[in-house]
Amino acid sequence: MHAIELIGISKHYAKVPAVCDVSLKIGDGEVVALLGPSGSGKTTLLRLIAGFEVPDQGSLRIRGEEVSRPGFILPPEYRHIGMVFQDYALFPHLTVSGNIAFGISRDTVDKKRQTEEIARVFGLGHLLHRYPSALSGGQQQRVALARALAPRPGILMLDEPFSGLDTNMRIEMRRELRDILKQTGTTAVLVTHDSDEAFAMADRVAVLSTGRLEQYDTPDVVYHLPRTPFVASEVGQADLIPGVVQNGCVVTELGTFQNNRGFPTGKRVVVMIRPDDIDFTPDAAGEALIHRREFKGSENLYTLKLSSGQHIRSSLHSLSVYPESTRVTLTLKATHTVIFECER
Amino acid sequence: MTGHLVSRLITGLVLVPPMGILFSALTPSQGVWEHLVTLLGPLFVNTAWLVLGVGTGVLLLGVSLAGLVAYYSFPGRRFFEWGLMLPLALPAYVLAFVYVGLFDFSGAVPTYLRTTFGLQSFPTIRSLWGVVLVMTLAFYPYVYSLTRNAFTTEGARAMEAATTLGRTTINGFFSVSLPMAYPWIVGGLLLSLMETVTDFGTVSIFNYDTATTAIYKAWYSLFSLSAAAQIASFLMIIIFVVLLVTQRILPGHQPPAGHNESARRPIPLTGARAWFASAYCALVLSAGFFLPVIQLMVWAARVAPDDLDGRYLGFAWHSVLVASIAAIVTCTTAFLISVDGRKNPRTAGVTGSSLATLGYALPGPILAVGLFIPLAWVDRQIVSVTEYLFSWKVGPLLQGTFMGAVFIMVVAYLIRFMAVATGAIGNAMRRIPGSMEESARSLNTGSTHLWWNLYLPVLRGGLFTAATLVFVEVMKEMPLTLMTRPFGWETLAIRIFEMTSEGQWERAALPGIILVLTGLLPIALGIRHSDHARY
Repeated sequence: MHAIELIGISKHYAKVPAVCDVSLKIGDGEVVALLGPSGSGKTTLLRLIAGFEVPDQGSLRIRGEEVSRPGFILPPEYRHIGMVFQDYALFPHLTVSGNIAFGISRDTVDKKRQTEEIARVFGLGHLLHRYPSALSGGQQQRVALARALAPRPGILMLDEPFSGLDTNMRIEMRRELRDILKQTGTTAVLVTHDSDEAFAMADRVAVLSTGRLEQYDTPDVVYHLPRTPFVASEVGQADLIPGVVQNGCVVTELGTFQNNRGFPTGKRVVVMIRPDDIDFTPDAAGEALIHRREFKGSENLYTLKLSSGQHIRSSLHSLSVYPESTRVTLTLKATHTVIFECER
Repeated sequence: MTGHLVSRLITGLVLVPPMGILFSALTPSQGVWEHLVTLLGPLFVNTAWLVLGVGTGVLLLGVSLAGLVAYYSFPGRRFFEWGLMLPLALPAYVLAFVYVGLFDFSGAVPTYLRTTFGLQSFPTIRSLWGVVLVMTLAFYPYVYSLTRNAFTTEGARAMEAATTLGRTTINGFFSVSLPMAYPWIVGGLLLSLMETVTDFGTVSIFNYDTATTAIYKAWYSLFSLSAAAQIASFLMIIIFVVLLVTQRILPGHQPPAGHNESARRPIPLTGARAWFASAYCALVLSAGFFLPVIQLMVWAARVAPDDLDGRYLGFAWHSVLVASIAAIVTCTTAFLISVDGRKNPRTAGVTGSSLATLGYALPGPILAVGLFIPLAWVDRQIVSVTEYLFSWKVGPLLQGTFMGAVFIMVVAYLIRFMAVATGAIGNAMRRIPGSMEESARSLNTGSTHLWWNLYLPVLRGGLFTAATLVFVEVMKEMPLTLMTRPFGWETLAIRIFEMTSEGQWERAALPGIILVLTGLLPIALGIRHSDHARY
């Protein structure tokens, strides 16, 4: 049994499709990231699962039970799905402990102890009597998480939960939250537009573009074997080098690649190259030229200009510094070959 | 720097009436005092009942309607959403004389009931319940609009959060939406109660004596400015205390920045419930707006052939003239104060806004009396000084002369409606981020340039809103106009007062209709009351 199962879900807003025929299965205890740019339908998908939206087509099962289909919707309050909102939506008239205890069932014997317990887990033990307006952004975020997890929902929806935090805090919170989700065996769906966040948090990543599911795989598969050029550029930097199929191989400026998708001879294709797939060494007779260097801290990102004028990026160790206009020879170290049909 | 001084002086002007009253109250004249003590008790009891009744009424109507419209969908909801604001277009005293005309012993409804059903005893409309009913219908939109605003913005998000935590809509409403909306509900309630306490026209039509009417009567029939000041000082102290207490108990959290892009869709009501919801909204709106307006039109049509002549042009012209002058003066002043508050945020902001509120909280008669006391003194000084210096015999300058009276009238309006204007302009001002001002300055713009090219264009909308609101308020204002106008000078509101004090409801309908049309102006222009909450 899957925790969440979407079968051919579609949703339109005034004729504009927001979600198109999405099918997705999320296993028990799995953390899934919905990744896509704004307008890709990821938030709508989240709200469909939570029960705030009714699908136009398709059906949705939660813990094996059908909860949404066109014309029927089990209201959110009966779904036992926790939710963390982008703006936290804390209750301003309740203290931290009031917020956390809000969802814990009235019949719970040790409501107070349970509240304190979860507050302690999120490092809020000393703030129980404060009001949300007196908390920092990071603390508010923790209250929002604690409040959503306090009723032990089993399934948690997270709508860009870390977007209001600064970088260091964000990285720390991701790590902390992932540990808690795994310890409690909570199934989680995370909406984000940041591939780093998706990779750091999720067991599987669902990449969305204009309401369509482009790919649903583990982070390393999505990164190394993207199914579409959109996914390739969404989850990291990628250069697409044009080539032609000849004698069962793909011939490009950078050399020949295996025609692993069986394209017919003469077909024009592109090969995806990531900056970490390519190395270079200075060589006065080299075919490429260093066009630009960007210092990124742990690495140097070089933009190289090939003889055809095509640009390609390569990341090198931060200590290997070469001046611009140096001639270089390229070496490919890719283990996977990703080929797409040429779009033109 | 001169701008700062001017704005501080004008802000200080608000303090003149209360100071005048307190000064005068400390020097009681003989005889009047004993008379007042026996008089005051019942008056304050009357006012207290009124506050209690209207407060309960507007809370029940305002919050229930706001909740219904914000969270549920039913036939006509889209119309009711703004339609329920329409009663604001009717001055309470217009609603009052329509209801008295309809339900008084000789009115249409009791006459019909007597002749058709032989019903002899009919509860009289001229009672506490009548006043409470009329005022509730007239003032519930304050509570309604602010509360609905709270429900549809922050409230909707929190309701979503509550449902993901397993609460039903009804439960979420009472445990989250309602307590969160508390500051707005109290804000709306305060506005309604300020209107109730400062009301003059409605209670005089009902012959329901309150402290406000007593001030007018003391001044008008006893010709005793000091007696009026005595009553005024009592009422003023009570209002101060109430204002202070409410500012203390109001929770500090501020309205949200208004991110409701994913607001929860309303829950559809079906069958009998849906029709019940529609019927409830329709009933309130009919009682508070449509029926009175239809009755006004019927009466107006009946008396128009005899009444509608050149004089009406005069009344309307007087109303429009003072309202326009007051709107321009008040908005210019409010603009100066707002810009000054911007430049000197620490000193000007707080004192300015709370002083402006004071003017709005003071009933018109108190304001008028409070202005007359110092003005009479100034007049006497001028007279005696000119006599002493030049041995000229001059009459009083401010009182008794036409221009002097118009001047006093405009100053009175300025003090009374400053809060309306500073509210609207201040709202627009807050939309200029500090960075915009700084970037203008960094582009090497001088102060004049900043005024003409930043403040004025950006605040144009706010200024327009402020001017419209002040214009409409002055058109409707009854007691201040009554007490400060040049002798024999009539406006539409005065005409209504004169006709209704003779019980000629039908003849009051004609000016009433014109006032209603004026009152529709801000609603038609889409100026929402929530945009200029005045406290």
